[in-house]
Amino acid sequence: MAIVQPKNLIFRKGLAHVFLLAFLCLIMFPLLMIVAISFRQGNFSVGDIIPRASTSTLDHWRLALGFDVRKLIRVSGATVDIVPTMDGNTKLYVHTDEDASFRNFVTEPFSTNDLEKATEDAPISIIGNPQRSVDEDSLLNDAKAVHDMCVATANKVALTVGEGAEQLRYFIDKNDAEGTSYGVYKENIIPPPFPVLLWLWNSVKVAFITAFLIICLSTTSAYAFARMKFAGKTVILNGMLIFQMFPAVLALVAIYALFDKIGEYIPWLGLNTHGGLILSYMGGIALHIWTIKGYFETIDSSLEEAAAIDGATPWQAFRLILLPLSVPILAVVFILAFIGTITEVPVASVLLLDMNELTLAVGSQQYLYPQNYLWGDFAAAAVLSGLPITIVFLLAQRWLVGGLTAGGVKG
Amino acid sequence: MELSSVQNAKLSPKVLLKWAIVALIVLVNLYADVMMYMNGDIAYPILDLVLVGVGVYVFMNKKMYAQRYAFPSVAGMTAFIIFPLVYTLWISFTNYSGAHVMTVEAAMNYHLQKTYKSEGGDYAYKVFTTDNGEHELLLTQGDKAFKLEQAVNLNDPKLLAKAQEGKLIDANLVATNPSDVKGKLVPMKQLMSLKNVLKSYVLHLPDSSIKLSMSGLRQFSAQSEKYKRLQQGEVVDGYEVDSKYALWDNETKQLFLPNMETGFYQYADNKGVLHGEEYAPGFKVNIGFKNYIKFLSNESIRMPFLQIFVWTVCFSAITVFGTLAIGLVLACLVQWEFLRFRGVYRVFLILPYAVPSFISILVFKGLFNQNFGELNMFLNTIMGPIYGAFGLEWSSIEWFTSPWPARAMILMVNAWLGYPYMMILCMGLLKSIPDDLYEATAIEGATPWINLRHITLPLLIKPLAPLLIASFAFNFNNFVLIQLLTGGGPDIIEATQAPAGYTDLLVSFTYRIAFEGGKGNDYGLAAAVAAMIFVMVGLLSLVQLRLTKNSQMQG
Repeated sequence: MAIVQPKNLIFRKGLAHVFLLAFLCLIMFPLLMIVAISFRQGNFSVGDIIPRASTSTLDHWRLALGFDVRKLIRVSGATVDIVPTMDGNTKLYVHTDEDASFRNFVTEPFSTNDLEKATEDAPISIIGNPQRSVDEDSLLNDAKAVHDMCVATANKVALTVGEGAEQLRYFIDKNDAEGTSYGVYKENIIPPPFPVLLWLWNSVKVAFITAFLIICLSTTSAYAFARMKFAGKTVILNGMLIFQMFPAVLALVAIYALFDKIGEYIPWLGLNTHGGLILSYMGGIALHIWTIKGYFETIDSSLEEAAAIDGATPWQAFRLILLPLSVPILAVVFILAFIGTITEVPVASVLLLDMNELTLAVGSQQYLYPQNYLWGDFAAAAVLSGLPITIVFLLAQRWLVGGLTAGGVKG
Repeated sequence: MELSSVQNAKLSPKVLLKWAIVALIVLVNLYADVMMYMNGDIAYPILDLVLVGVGVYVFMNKKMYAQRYAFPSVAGMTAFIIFPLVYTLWISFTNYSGAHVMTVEAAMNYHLQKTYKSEGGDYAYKVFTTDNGEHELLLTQGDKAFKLEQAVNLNDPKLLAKAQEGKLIDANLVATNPSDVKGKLVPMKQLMSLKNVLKSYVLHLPDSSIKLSMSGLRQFSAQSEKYKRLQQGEVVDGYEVDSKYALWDNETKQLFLPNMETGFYQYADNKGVLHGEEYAPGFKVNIGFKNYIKFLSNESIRMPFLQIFVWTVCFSAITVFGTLAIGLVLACLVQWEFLRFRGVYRVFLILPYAVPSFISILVFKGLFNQNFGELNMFLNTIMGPIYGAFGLEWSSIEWFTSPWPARAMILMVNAWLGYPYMMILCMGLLKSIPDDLYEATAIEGATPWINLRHITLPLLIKPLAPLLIASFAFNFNNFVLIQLLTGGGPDIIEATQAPAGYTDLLVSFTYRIAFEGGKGNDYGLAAAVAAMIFVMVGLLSLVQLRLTKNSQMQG
């Protein structure tokens, strides 16, 4: 605590808080927006910043988690008539002249007693047969009875027309948007647009294995560079650092050709394989070597020398003495390598081709193509997949901050 | 101890096993290298030989004990960074592009597969199914009739696979009598399904060199090879062949030679002078510095290149100094001991760095969207009435179709992404400045501004300089930001020869030349741009290395 205090301290503190809060609002705006958008209806509509319970939906989240979404679309102008049968059962005649894509049909007879047991989640399924028109006289002409019947069947019967891929399901719903007491709705099943969870799994798998292999390669190298003397050591170290600066984007054609060739001889390391992608990341380890080497140099070598006097080989000294002492920096490098791999785009976008093999960083671009703009679905997928990575980073940031400055400044 | 055990027991099973494994590795790799070399590859076998050779040397030589630890990472670096670099440099001297993909040998083989309808005429054919499920093929021309020497099953999956790969199937014909061919006639409808297999058949007539292949759904015709390969040194038509890949057109009786300047086959007169149309497919040839010269001579490439270069430098410089300014101010604030909730502020301020960049860039892409984006919606609701009050009309900002708004957007988004890194660096470095310096100035009544200018900045700049250079180099090559946010657009209309946009950086420009269709995938030209970027990056990293050393010496 400083002894001399500035004169207008309170004013300055207030100013700092105001500035920081305003800045945070600006910074957090996109992140809050994306969370809000993930609860909004549709992919285009524009809504409130804080989602309101009445208009928000979990549809985008269902799609992101890989579930189908069931949407009911109103058949315009559709009306329902009742066709009583001789044995006291009921048939429904559903028809419209306004919607050309809708097929008029008469259902198989069903017993009104079954309606009692049916619920919204387990509706009675009744098969409908396409029929242009029915005999006017066979219809029930009591308007109130027809209305009561429709309200009673609302959301409790699924009217199935057609077979196989042609199959469509219709529902009668009493909460009709157009103000009438019931309406006919076509059921639309929307499958998830992209396998987000699979992409996340691919990303995590590739990043985890890559980070592990990078640790293995860079610790052994760092050990040699920190503790051993051999010809060309400085040249190799500096050379690695310089070559690391060249972006892989510029050599993509060569990288593609290289892995095409590798795949001819070893298929599981070729194009469109995670093995090949992981292998390609084994080139980018120079910075990690420097970071670990810097840490090794802060550890006193007298411990290893003592071990060597007791008969330990260099490998034993490395594995049994140096490694256990450097767990903190290994954790830092692991997380840095993990995050670096998970956010890598160019190489992965060239090496991976199949929709199901993509990593998240490559796949998530597909949500925002102008031809197929899925803003709402993207929002849910982005929050779902970004959250775990963000949390890992924030949990590790205390160590990362130290690692970043140590690796960068000491060199 | 490994070292002494070798000397004590030279032929112990362990040692034998070790040598056996090494020998196996060497043999397998040598075999693969020879195979690759035979296929016309040179670069890959050399890479493999070097890596395996050095690897075996390092691991089998006792003097190389220290290098063993460093070898795997150096090998990885060589294979996946240095080799692609060198390969890219090599590509920059070739015409490798979408229209010139194959080697000259592959192009020659492509031409050698061509046929033309020759004398011998057309043969009608019928297919019969025999009792054991095989097929008989009956070909007739006038009163002549031929059938397959051996009946085959045309539905055999092996044949189907062969046909799908485009391989030809040879078969001999024998003379026969139409009534001798037994079996059920396959109707026309079913022939359609056999078409693909039949198409790949080459039928040899007995006692002649005429070959038949399918020329229509109902007939086979005599086909001859259009081209014949000429031997080097052979004299044809008074011309001495000097190319390994020279061809002779059997139909028009002309020389057909590869043009090693343009990478296409062309017809030539009997003095070897090439003329007329260029025949696809093109092949790769070395064209020297032509790709580089294009940048100097061709206005429609030079202009966008220079424009993109200037923008790349400006973008990197503004980003580095902008993020440094924001980061430094924030770092000073959150390190200020009188401020409460510093830890909370710190976590929230680091948040943009914690969110994976590919997600936050795409989030911005959506928010900035011209038509449905939330940002334009806010601006319209706020600015509309304000402008209206002054009698002006507010129009929504075209973030993606106008050059300057697009550039402004890129800079804003990159500032959002980049300031936490600078803040983290400054926080670390600020801790190392001794407190008593500030105490001393406080006694003198110095303002924060004086503190910043006379204490903080001078002490920070030395250790910060190499990191700023690194950050400059990173942003110079910030491909992901451009690719995910604007894809380089809006396009520069004057750039007719290569795809170029107002927000393109040199790297994304290179990527688009290589991979974006429309104007052709010109890998050679892209590699030439890449080579120029390599030089700039190399210089930057040398400067950085020098600065790092300086700051270490004095720091």
